[in-house]
Amino acid sequence: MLLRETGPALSISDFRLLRDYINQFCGIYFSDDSAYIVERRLRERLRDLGIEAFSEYYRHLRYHPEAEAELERAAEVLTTNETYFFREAYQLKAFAEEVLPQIRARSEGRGSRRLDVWSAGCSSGEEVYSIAMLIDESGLFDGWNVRVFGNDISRRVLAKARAATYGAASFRSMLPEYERYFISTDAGMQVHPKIRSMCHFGHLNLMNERRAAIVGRVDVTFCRNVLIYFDETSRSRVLDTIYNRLQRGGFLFLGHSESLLNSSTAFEITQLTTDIAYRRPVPFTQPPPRELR
Amino acid sequence: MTGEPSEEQLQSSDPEVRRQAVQRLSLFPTLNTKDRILVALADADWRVRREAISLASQVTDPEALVDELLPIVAQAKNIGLRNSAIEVLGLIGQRMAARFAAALDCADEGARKFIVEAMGKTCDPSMIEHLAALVGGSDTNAAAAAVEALVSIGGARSEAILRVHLDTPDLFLRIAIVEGLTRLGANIPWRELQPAVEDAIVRRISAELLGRTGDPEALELLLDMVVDASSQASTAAIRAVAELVVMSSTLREAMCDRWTASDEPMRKALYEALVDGDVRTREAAAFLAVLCRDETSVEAVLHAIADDVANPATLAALRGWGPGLVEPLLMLRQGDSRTRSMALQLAAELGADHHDRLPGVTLKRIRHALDSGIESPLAEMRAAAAESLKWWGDEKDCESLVAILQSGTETERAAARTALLAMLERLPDSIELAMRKVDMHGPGGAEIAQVLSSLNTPSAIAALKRGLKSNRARTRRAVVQSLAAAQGSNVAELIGYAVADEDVDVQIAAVRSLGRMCTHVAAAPLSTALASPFPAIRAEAALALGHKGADGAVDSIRALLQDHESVVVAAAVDALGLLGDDAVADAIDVAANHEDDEVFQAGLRAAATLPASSALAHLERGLAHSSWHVRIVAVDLLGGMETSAARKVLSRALSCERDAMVKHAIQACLQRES
Repeated sequence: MLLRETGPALSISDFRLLRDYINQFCGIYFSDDSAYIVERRLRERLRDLGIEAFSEYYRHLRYHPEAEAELERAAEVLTTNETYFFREAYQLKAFAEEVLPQIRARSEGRGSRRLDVWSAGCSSGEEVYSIAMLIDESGLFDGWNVRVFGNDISRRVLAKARAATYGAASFRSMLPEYERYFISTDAGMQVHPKIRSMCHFGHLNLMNERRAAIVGRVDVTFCRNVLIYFDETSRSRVLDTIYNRLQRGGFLFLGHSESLLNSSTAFEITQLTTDIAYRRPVPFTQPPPRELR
Repeated sequence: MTGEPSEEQLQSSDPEVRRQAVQRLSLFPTLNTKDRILVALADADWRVRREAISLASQVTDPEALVDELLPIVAQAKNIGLRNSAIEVLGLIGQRMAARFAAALDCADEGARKFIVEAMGKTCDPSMIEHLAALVGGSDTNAAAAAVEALVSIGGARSEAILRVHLDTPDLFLRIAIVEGLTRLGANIPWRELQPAVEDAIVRRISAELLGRTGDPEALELLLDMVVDASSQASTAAIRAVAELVVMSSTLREAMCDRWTASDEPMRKALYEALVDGDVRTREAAAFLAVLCRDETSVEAVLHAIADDVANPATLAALRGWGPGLVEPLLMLRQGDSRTRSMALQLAAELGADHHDRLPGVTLKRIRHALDSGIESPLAEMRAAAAESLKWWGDEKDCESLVAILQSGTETERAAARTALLAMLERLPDSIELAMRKVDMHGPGGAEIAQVLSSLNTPSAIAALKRGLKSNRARTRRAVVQSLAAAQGSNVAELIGYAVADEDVDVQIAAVRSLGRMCTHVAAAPLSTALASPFPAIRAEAALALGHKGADGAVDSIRALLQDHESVVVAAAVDALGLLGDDAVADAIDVAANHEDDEVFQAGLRAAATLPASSALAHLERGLAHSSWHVRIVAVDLLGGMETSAARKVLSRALSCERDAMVKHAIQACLQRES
């Protein structure tokens, strides 16, 4: 990390143009007082491209033959990716103890032995692996086809997620009992192959609903501390995508400071013992799972 | 579910069916009746009520619905319905202040606050005077709700009303007023605020207001609050102090004096805020820690910078610390490589800036740290050391920097390039010697090209020409740019070949470079580029020919006005304006009717080249454009005309402009001219 404040200056009008254009592309929104962060982070892109001014960079993003790839790179340097294993553990506890048994019962009722979980905006993969560890630990899905899919707009963090090897900062809130899911290597602690085999990663912009179809239908979606970086319109778009990807009765977990109250009425609220979750409603006409009759 | 929602669906026992039915009512305005809305607003499910609120905001007769809803707000039997009614009144109740006032007169004490809440949600300034009367009234619930409503409506009048009541003896109302003024962003002089904050409870929530007073007594109160038992009050105080001390050097000095005399709890509170606070708190704490020159916080401050939570003022203050910071920076040998690399770089910079004020032993330590940094196993440390050699490098460093230039990581190469470019003035011969055998075909070709371009010796130009044959597009692109910058002999032809490069970025660089070169040789390859399959190349070529004044290309550029890519059309319009083409008016018409803002802007720029009377009409049209950035271009161009007619147009635009930035641009133009 170098102390780099030298380079082209970002005027307030160029900031607005770039901010709005990037917002349209990936939903992230920067307030006016964070212009200096955008300036500092995008300078790296200008330097790499041999571009001398932010106005020129804006034109590059709009008209260059590889503009979309550059937009992805811009989004990548502008997003914050910090995460760790078992972040907001009380929520994961609710997922493991209350949601997983419900999903198992419902899937069995449908004659299905498949579990799909989506970590939308998974960053470097800690959440994806935490979820997979909890599923394994529950023992409810042994022999099932279990798939935990994580996506991010940053190819850099996805490479880290696939490598599945982490340093100390990723373990700040993990209980020692989960160390059994890791193998010690020279590069750090690597997630056990058994857990890795359940996890898949993909490059996906949450604003691109058509492409989100690759996620398939999922039983649970985690989209935690992602929507806080989005503006209201983009948030609604992403929530529509998440809704369409969820099975009926499927669950959505948001970060502890996030709420759907002003963004979507499509989900219903489900009160869990230690947290709340949102659900895609199940029509009344659908018969309840066999076990519950 | 599609088509008209049926009564059965609207009354279904399944809330999801009801929700979707209500949602679909908006598609059938004839079904969207007041009665249906009222039923849906009273639904047991919050999601159905939310849809009903959205539906109610579209009614064609809002007055009738407001009359129905005002009594509902006053009832207490169905809380969900009451809350929904408040929401709807907020959405549709504008310009109906008299109806709300009449409802207030009829409502009992318990219900008035809900009507007041709805008044606030309308954000309608005509409600303000009715609310003003309530703030000083005997119904304390309604008074508190009126404060909240005034804050929602905002504006100078609301702020003035709240300030009048700032000394109210009612503690809870005073708290509401202080919170409200904080949210309004009010700047209240210390003397006016002082009586209100004499109470400890009020003081705790007044940090932001105190931070805006610019007063030393307010600073004292805030510094006391830094050690408050409530972490919320403490962090708010830290943020407020940071805001306060930027207002004057006297306040900064007072804060530093108090810090010097402070005890452990204050230092601990600041440190904890710096390490564990939210982004804004960390930002403020980092700034204060640097201003107070707290050596124990240096590492945490650098950590904050690495996390992008330190603002430019903190970086400036860090540099302002001066030579006293060098030793603490050099002592950071453990921990995060990001902070260590920044510490090394900053120590080197401060050491260079204050060379005469530092003891020889410290200077030696800096030099030693740089030598170790270059050899470090960590790429970040190597890059920091390499870049720092721009201040410290001597003859013997040239070889190692050139080695990094050729084989380091991307960051290291960029750092070595920066250092070599800075050292060129004092060590040209040593650098030339070190650069003699550089490998233009390796990963560092692009960075090498930039250094060679600045060297600009015959051997450097020869090496650059070799770089055109590199199989790395990045190198070829940089070589093209560097050759053009060096303006060496016979390079235009070589750059002309690059217009046919297989990489589009090299082509763009070639076209742009040719546009900047003062040689007739450039015209032929640029004309060829007008027919490129890549829109970006066609656009760059048109612009380059425009800048070169290539009259012979006018016909080809005119043809580009029909291009299907807007970037090309915009460039063609710009180019024709630059060339002073007789038919530029046609190009301006094309631009004025084009849907892409960029083309419209190009039309404005071209219009500015016309005689003043014609230009004015076009530019005035730009001021009415829906995009703020188009309007900014129009403002700049009108400002540049410096005529009284343009000034009049700008003055007229100022009164109806809503965008703050455009407004500011107009004001700046008018001030400049006056």
